[in-house]
Amino acid sequence: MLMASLIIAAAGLSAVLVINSSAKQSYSSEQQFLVPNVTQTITSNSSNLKLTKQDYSVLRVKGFSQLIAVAQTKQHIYTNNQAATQASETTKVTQRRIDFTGIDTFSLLSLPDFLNPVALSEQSNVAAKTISSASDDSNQLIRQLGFGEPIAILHPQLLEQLLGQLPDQQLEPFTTEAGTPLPKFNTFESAALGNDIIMDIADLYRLYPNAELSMLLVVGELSKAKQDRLQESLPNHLQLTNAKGAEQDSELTSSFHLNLMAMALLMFVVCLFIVVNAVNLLLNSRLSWLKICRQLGISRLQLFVVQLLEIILLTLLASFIGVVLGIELAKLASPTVQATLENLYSVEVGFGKVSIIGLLIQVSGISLVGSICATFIPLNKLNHQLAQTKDVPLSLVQQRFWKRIIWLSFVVFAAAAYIILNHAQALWLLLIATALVILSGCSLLLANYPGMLALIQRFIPARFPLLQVSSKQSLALSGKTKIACCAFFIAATSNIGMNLMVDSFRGATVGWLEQRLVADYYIYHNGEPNLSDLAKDTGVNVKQRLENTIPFQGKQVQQFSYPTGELYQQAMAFYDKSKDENLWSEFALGKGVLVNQQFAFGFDYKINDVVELPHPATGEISSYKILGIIYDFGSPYKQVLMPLEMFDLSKSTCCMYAVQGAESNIDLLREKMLTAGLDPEGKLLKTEELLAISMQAFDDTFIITDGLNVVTLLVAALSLACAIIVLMNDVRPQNMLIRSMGVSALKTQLLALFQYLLLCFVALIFATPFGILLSWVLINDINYQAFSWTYPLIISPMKILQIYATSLLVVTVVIIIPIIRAGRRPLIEDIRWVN
Amino acid sequence: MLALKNLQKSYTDAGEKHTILNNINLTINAGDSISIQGASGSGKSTLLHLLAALDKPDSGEILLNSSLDETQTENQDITQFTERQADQYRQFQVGLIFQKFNLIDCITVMENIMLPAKITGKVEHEYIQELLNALGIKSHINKLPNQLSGGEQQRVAIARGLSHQPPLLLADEPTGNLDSKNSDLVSQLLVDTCKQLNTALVMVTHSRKVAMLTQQQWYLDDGSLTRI
Ligand SMILES: Nc1ncnc2c1ncn2[C@@H]1O[C@H](COP(=O)(O)OP(=O)(O)OP(=O)(O)O)[C@@H](O)[C@H]1O
Ligand SMILES: [Mg+2]
Repeated sequence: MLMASLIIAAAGLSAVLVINSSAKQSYSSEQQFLVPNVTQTITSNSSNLKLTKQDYSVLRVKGFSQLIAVAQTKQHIYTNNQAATQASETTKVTQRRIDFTGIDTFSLLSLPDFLNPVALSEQSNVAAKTISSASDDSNQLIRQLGFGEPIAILHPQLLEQLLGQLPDQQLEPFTTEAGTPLPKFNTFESAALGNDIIMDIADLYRLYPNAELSMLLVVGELSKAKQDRLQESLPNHLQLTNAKGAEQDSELTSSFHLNLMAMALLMFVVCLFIVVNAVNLLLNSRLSWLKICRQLGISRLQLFVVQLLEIILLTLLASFIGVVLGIELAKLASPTVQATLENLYSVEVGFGKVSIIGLLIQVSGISLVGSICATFIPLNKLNHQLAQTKDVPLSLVQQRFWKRIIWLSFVVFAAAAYIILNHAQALWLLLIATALVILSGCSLLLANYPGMLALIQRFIPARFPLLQVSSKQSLALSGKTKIACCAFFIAATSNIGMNLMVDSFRGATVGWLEQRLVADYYIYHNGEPNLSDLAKDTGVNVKQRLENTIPFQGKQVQQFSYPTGELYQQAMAFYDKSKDENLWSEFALGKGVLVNQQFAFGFDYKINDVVELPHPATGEISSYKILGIIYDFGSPYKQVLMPLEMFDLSKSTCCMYAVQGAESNIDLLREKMLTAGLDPEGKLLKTEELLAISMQAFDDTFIITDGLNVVTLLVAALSLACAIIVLMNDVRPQNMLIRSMGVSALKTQLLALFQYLLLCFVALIFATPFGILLSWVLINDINYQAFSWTYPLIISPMKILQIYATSLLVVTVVIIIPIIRAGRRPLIEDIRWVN
Repeated sequence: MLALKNLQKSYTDAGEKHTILNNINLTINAGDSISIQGASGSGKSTLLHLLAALDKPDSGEILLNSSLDETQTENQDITQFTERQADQYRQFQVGLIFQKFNLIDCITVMENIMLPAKITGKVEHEYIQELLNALGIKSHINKLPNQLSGGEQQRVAIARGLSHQPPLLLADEPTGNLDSKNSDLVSQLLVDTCKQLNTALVMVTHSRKVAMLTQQQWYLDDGSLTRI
């Protein structure tokens, strides 16, 4: 039991650490660009006008030789069927598409600076030393790509994964779908590779003619004049961004890491609870043996040290096993985790370099500290037990003293949480505050157990004397199962908090989508032909959504069009809006704009503030009043809405159309789409379908949260079960007595169950307000700080009752086993044991 | 009210059969007070457990003729009781007192005493008052058990064993944990109270002096019970 919980704790911790570090590395690698010294990037800012080879050649011809093209394509990897003779018969090897990246190595190597990286990094003086080793690596890599036979470079772990998916060992097994063999694979251990396969751009186009240019890298610093000239020469659809200006991303990463760390810590803390109980169990079973040792004259200190040493050894062993398991677990989990993380945070998880020794030291260090702390309480108790022959109940003065301590800690925790929540901005401080909120709840619970139980006793009718006795016994139990009760409280609180949060989010999203999606159909279509033109004489009303990306205060902001019609006015979901009656007319006139929460919170704007924005068609900067702040759940982008009439179709992209009309007219549109070569079935989505798709994606994402909830609950219940097993011997005489009065075994079992459920019930009652508080903090502080958007908290009593039911059920399932085992024993055995 | 006929009980231990009780015959009438002495391991507790329907004999019968229960005119063999019947039997017909752990320590003395009465639903306040007076524990009723001395605790245990007015009280070394002075005092109270309430008492004891307080003294040796 002890070993198992230690192993689980260490495994969980190291798995999270591995995922964390690989995510961190691949994240930083994304900014590292493989190619050293990238200062800026050129990307397309519109979704229908892509970056083309022509753009590239035009710019290079203009003398910008520092531009290096990068092409990317996502492809499955295939292998030749061994049985088939034709080369064209292939089978798919990969489960998900792999990123192939092509780099124009020829141009890169012809850069005069490139061969001399030191000269390059002289400019970026301070960072030079730290970068040099990394850039040496990459230089070597690119030279491999540029000279000699075509090769593809990938991370050894990715190769291992690919080879693992092959049906049989083959020498040059990998091909494209058409059966063209891929270049020879060379492995290269660098986190910068991530999950990509890198090759020369020419090789990439030979294999995948459809690959698209994704960006142009600017290698080395540009002089000011050159930069201005480049800026001018850029066609409209291209934009230049600083490579180091990915501030938004790093915010996202840090919150993601915090999230992972919080998860790991939660897991670890909860496992510590189990360790405490397991140690308790271990020592309890040894108590008589230890007492004999004492009588033989071995000092208490000696016994103490021996026990502690044993636990330290066990911890080291467990953390070693745990690390090995954890790494395996991380490997196993990585595809799922990758998929989820890509959805949730758009983070690509690659392969980190994991040093087992480092991890081992880290994990065993943490677990050692943890388990020693966890062991200390029961060991100390044991020490007392060995010192005295009889259990002396706490004197009244001592009781009062403890009670004061508990109340004091409640006040301290609550005050600290309050202060931090009100004043702190940093995410990690907020997370600490959240933990403090939960801790203060724990203290409050411990301080109020007696009062609450006494209150409940009053409601038990005199007709049930046994229930009355039982409820009094549970008070005594609560003193002995403090830790388990706290574990349960924490689990229940986080459960309620998370569930309410997810529920509110879901509710808000459904409501929001239903309000926003007023049209009958939506079309996701990008590029030619424009569907508003197509729909002109079908009688269908098609409103397009036009998009621009504009710079605002050094960041990218979405500038979207919004129709001004009555229907669409009603469809808008406001977080806050101007009291002005003429809101919509001012909007329609182009005097004011609507911004999403991400924009308002991110730049710290309020209603009626004035912002300077470019005109969507002319690009002219003018002032606009913020008329309303709208909900835009889940979007990472800051957004400004302007009336559709202000947009110019030729200057903006259009990806989405809202369609409204009678079904017969829609059919006409369908026909038109067909003749235009568009697939109406795939592109024309009924609003209900769209809603269903969105909710499906939503629910999929939150399965993790559910899983986590159940795990914490289970662990808490397990800890309770441990406590029960320890306590079983304590309550045996009492049970014996009650049964000797002719109360049936079943009844005594039910009474025991009642006692524990009563404890849990009280914990749940206390967990409810704290859970609500927790979800409020999660929504209005953590989500606000991490993602700059919030949503209304919905407290659904049904949901809370449901959580009550599930948690009590989980507890029942876990504790019923020891209870039944105790009840199965014939009464006579108990009587003989006691006397 | 109880008639033990040819009771036989043995345990097999490491393949060897030990006969603990051999051909035991005993009749307990209402209001009788009986003490059982014997060496340690002679089977006194075993016998008492058989009387309480906690254990089953290998052979023989224990016939119950309940004078209090009018519905049952025929004799019942308690060795054939189902678990449910045994529970009922203990609830209504028997009070049990042990050497220690006789009280639930998280409820008051009074609540402890009232518990069996409440379980059986036979709460008679006058009777309880009488009991408290007889045992001299009236001043302690609002205390918690661990605030009482050992002797006081056993007196409370007697009250608890009698509060539901059982016709039979079984006590397994009720004063085994007390010093001899206290032991004599509590035993005297036990016997007197049972007499006063006309409850049959079967008490296991090591002490000759305590045994002399009862009407009948029996001695258990080598599996057989003899009256002295
Ligand atoms: N479940 C059992 N399995 C095997 N042997 C048992 C069992 N229960 C009791 N015995 C044996 O039966 C014998 C009688 O036990 P019992 O408890 O009745 O003795 P006792 O007369 O009450 O002794 P004491 O005066 O020490 O309480 C003992 O030798 C004991 O070892
Ligand atoms: Mg005995």
